[in-house]
Amino acid sequence: MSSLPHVPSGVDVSFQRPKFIWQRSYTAAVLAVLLLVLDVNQSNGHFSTIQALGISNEALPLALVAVGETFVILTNGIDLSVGSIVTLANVTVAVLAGHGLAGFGIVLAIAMGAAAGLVNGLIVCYARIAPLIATLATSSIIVGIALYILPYPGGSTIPGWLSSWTAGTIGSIPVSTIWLALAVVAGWIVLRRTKFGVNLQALGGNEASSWSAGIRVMRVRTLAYVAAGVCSALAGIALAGLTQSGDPTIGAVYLLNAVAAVIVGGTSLSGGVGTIVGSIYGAIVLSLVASVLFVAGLSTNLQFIVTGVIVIGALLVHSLQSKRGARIVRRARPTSEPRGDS
Amino acid sequence: MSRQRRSYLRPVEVAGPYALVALALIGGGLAIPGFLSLSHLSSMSGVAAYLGIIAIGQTLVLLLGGIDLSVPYLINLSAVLLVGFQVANFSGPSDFALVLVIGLGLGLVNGLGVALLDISPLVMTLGMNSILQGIAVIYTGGSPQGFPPAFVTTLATGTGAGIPYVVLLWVALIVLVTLVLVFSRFGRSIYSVGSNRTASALCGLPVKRTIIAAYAISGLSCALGGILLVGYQGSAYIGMGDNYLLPSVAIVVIGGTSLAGGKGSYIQTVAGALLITVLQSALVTINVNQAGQDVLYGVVILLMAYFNQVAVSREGGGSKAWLRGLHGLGGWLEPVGRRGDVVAPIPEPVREPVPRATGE
Repeated sequence: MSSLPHVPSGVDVSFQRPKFIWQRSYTAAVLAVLLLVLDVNQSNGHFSTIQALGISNEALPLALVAVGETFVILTNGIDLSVGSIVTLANVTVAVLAGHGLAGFGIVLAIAMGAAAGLVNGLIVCYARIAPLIATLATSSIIVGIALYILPYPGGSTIPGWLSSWTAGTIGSIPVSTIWLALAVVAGWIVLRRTKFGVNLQALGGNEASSWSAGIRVMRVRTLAYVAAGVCSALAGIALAGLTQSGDPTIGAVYLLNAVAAVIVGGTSLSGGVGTIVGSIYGAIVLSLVASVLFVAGLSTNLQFIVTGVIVIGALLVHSLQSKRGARIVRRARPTSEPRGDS
Repeated sequence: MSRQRRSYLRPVEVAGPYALVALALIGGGLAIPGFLSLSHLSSMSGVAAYLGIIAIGQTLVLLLGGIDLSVPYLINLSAVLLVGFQVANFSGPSDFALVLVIGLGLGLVNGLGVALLDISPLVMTLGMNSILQGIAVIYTGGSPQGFPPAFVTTLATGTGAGIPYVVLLWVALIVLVTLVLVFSRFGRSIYSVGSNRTASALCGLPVKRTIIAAYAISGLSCALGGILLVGYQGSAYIGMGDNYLLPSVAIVVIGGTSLAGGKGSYIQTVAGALLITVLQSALVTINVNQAGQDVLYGVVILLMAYFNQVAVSREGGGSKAWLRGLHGLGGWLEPVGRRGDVVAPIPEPVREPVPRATGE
């Protein structure tokens, strides 16, 4: 990485890193920290392990689904089947754990998530059905399959190791917090340090250009849906551990909340702009709202209104910010001199 | 091949979904005794009417290339407000009107956010749905009390000469909406803005006003749907609108209206509502469980969306186009691009050294 390819010698390609840019995900991060401080402050100022456990257990499944949704929204699509895949994975693990095959259940759930994502991707790419409709239809099919596997909510024998791997603690750190941190790192590596991730961002930014540049557009887009499927399946598995049961209606909540978390996290719905960590901040924000309202002594029924205001407000902030950025770039352009003349 | 003048209702596209409805009815009639009896037909059309009335607004919004995700709690809040006003001893007809006005106002807020603040419709209506859910929950404390006024119950459940009043209302609305879409200036600007917003603005159409009005109508139709629903069920509960969001989008698409906007009509949505209702009724009668219904529902949406997509890409004509729609399956194996797309060769980058500046 010492020199850029195809740059003629004699042209100065060194550039200065901008001093500080307020990235879109920072807004969500500030909001998350603010809510966390409020939460801690209201509960007499000390932050216990129990509290941390509650917060990160609440946030983990939503964050995982939001990470998956981010991949798809980055391609300028949307995946409405994530909630159903959560349900399918949850139900699969619960039923197989009842037969003493929890390990196999987890592998199968991930495979089913990947397969569902693959089907979504293939339909969107090759049958050219709009992502909204294609995933709406597959969502219905997947829920049907989940209902076939487990028609009613059932607490089965989820093994102890699965719940201690999701709801347990290591020392005073909740395991789910470790999973969240791992998701941040893994998401960053996949999106910023792999060919797939870079291609994905290029594709979302400008499909025609990235196609001309030799990116296999169809394949990258399909893989984005597969990633969403796998992440949602992981969320379903985590839910099996956290709730100790299987429930064929458990995933419905996660669909719209995941989209909301991605939006709060600063990922643009028109594709190409966004971060994994932003979506995780967004998920933390959304899962903190109810808790903060509760410790503040307000009605938790307010959470829906607060959530709605946060989603619309965050989008307004992001769009104002990108408009301001565009204005600065426009203003800067005429005055910038070509380098190397003086 | 000369291109046809764009008409707002294309006979073939309208006839297609209706042919499927007829097919489903005939199939049901052959397989299930009594499926085509008058009483069963009228009950099915009643079920379709609720869905169809709710989807009026969704059709207009999708024709504009937008989407309304606040349908569930527009419905739910209207239902909850109607029974709540009854408890507060308001009079029936004025409640009815007041709830409709509130629905219109909430839709208007959606429209203002989308048109003036330039918020993406998905986000605006998603956030709005959450806010409305909060209002509904706080207003009722979680468990709505009270009953709908008597005339609403009559409207929702009564029949005249064997035909449910809801169906009569629906037919009137179908005629009204279709006339507005095809003949009025507002209807035509919906198609125009949906096809190309920039061009419509340059032509001097009131783009923002059209968008705001469409979302307001969506609020109004959901409010009417909520009122009828609470009249039918006799009481309101939190979550009663949840099962209408995805079907309201699905039937519009099944009817052939394009998500990209500018193409489709409400008559086609009506066919979508009828098709889904007839299929579901048939499945319930032959004892297919919920799982099977969900799978079949998804398959129907996929197939209809696929054939509509093929119909769009076929606009140059040609046979076997439905096969060509499975576009470039070999593309997975090819190095780049889709089959059929023209590829301009990418020139090799020039690697010659650039001459140094003469000063050195």
